[in-house]
Amino acid sequence: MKRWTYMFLCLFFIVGCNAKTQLDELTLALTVGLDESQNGKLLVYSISPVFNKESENIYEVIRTSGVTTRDGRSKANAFASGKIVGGKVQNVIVSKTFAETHDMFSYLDVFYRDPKNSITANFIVFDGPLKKLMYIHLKDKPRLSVAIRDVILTAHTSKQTTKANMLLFHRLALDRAQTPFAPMLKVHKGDLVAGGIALFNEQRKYVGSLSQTESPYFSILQKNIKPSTFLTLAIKGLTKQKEYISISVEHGDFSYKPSFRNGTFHFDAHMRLGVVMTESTTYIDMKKEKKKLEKLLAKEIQKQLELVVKKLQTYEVDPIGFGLYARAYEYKQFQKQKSWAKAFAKAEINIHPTVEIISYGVLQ
Amino acid sequence: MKRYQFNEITTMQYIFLISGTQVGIGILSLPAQLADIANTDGWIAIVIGWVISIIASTIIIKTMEKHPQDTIFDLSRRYFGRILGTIIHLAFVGYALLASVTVVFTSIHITQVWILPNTSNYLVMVLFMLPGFLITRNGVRVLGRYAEVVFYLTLWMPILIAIPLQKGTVLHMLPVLKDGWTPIFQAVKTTVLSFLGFELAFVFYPFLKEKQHAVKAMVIANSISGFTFLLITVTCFIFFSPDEISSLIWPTLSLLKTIEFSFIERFEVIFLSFYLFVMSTTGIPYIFTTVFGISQLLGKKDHTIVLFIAVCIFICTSFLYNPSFVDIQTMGSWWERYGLWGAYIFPIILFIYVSVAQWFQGGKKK
Repeated sequence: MKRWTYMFLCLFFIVGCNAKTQLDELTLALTVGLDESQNGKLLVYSISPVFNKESENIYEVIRTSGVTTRDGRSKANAFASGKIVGGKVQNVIVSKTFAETHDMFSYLDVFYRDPKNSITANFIVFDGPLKKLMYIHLKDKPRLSVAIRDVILTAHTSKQTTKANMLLFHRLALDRAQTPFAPMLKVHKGDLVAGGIALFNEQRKYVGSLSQTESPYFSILQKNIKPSTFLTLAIKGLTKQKEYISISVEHGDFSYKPSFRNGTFHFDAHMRLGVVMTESTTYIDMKKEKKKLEKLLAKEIQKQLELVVKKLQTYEVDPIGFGLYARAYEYKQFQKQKSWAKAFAKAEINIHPTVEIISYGVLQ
Repeated sequence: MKRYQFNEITTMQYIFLISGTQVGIGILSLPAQLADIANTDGWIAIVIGWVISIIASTIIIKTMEKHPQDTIFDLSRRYFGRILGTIIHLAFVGYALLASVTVVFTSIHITQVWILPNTSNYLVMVLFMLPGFLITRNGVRVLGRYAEVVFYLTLWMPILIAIPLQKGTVLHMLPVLKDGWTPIFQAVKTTVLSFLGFELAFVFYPFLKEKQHAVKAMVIANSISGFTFLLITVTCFIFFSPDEISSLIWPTLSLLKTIEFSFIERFEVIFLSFYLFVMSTTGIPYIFTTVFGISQLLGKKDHTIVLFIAVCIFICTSFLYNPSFVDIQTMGSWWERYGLWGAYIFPIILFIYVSVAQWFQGGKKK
């Protein structure tokens, strides 16, 4: 009797073997791209590695057109070399023109709704038609999906762009107090270049971008300083000539204080930045002029930060999340606003940075 | 005379049995339900719910103390006579049956959505029922031991929650008392229902060896559950933005989905596979109560045969019927409505009735 029970159990456990899948029979979509064709149809690209030794390419690019993202993938199954699996997606790329005209959120829904899909994939905006990226030839780089991810992550670490995964996009898109943002990627002279930040409005449509030089200031506003943020500032007024000073911001204390006066929001953003001086094009007597230099640096940083904030306000987007502070400390007034982005555009934001030079290297 | 001498459980086992029954499927969706009603103030409702459930469970213990060897099934017969007593007996069995059906089908549904989308529900059902049968067959003592082992096995789970907590923003929690107290009190109903499970003290109390610790044990059990609810809910509120969280059905699992290691993706699959243990400590006591109640009704001492038939019915049902998510939600709301009466209102009425009856009998103990 007992033996029969065990045999029955063994048979029972092999039921699952029926639906087994082997790795080399799968097409693992590592990158998914969304673009619009010239006649207005949705193009779905997917890049997946090829495990076959005989094939020349180490990855394959599949392009299909469909009504929705999922529909495109289903059609791709018709000529992929294996069953397409979406759980390993590392990058989700949308082209700028596509993001300008469509609500991104509805096209990304499948990534959130289906639990099999990964939501930690990077969300990226591509400057230009996706065709250019998908059929690029990179001789000195790993597989395209890996290369894209590496470029974005490296640029993020050096603050040339930002990083946003699908999860963050979901949060920013649904939260009334913030708007989504994403890193930008482009192809320049046959090479992948990451830089700049794409901004989305409350309708989750692309409205504009911050340039690569504005990106470090954006991450300072986001309080995202570590590992050090490098800035090169043009400073006039210390000596008679035009001088450039490079600093790396090592740490910072921030306090964003919201208040509501006369029908507009006010933000007093105080920040204390600890910086290390890494380069100076002119001679400065640090012993004497340290205090003065600190003030000048603070003034220049303030100017740049204010420019970035102005730009965000003209686009009516709040990717930094000033709205979070407004909601936390001025809840009643925040609730009265029909659209936080509009209220943010009218808000008065005063930024007061102070700079402290921790060290100026081994030169006097 | 002790009726359940060979089936006694220690205080620890009793604590874990009760808190295991409380922490189960509810916790996976609780943060979203709370955020829906009370926004990020939902955690205050948990604290209130915790106090209410402690009061209710103390009342249950106080009622049971009057006849330490009786389960609710004996008690109903003793005080309400043959016909009314049988009706109450049946109602309690019905309640436990509804709870076990809800828990089992919800677990199967969650397993199918998150881990095994291509596996038929009857296969999952058979897999659930095999260990369920083996544990339930052996009575309360094994149930208690199982609950204790599962508790120790799952101690690592709360630590994991700390990973997403680091990436969250505490600003989401502010301001406290966003829209006053009204939505919080509305949310109390939801939290009170997540504490359901302590009413099984009606059945398990006679099995407790050290009865003088019963009230303390109930407080500890409720506190373990309350702390777990609070931890998960606050983490979800801090991690997800307030507008986002109500768009999720199982925010706890979505939270774990974000944990990613370089060597493993979809961490929630592993978590959920382990969490099936926790779900089983919710389902099995209810199945036991159902089976135990039915066998008492039939006057049988051994509940194995009834259990066997019940398991067969469960498996056959899953062959014929695969509930959709809407059906499961309906089942859940029935359980909650019934549970509100069964666990909060009925014990109070029973307590008053038993006290008055004893007073009339002049304190004479049977």
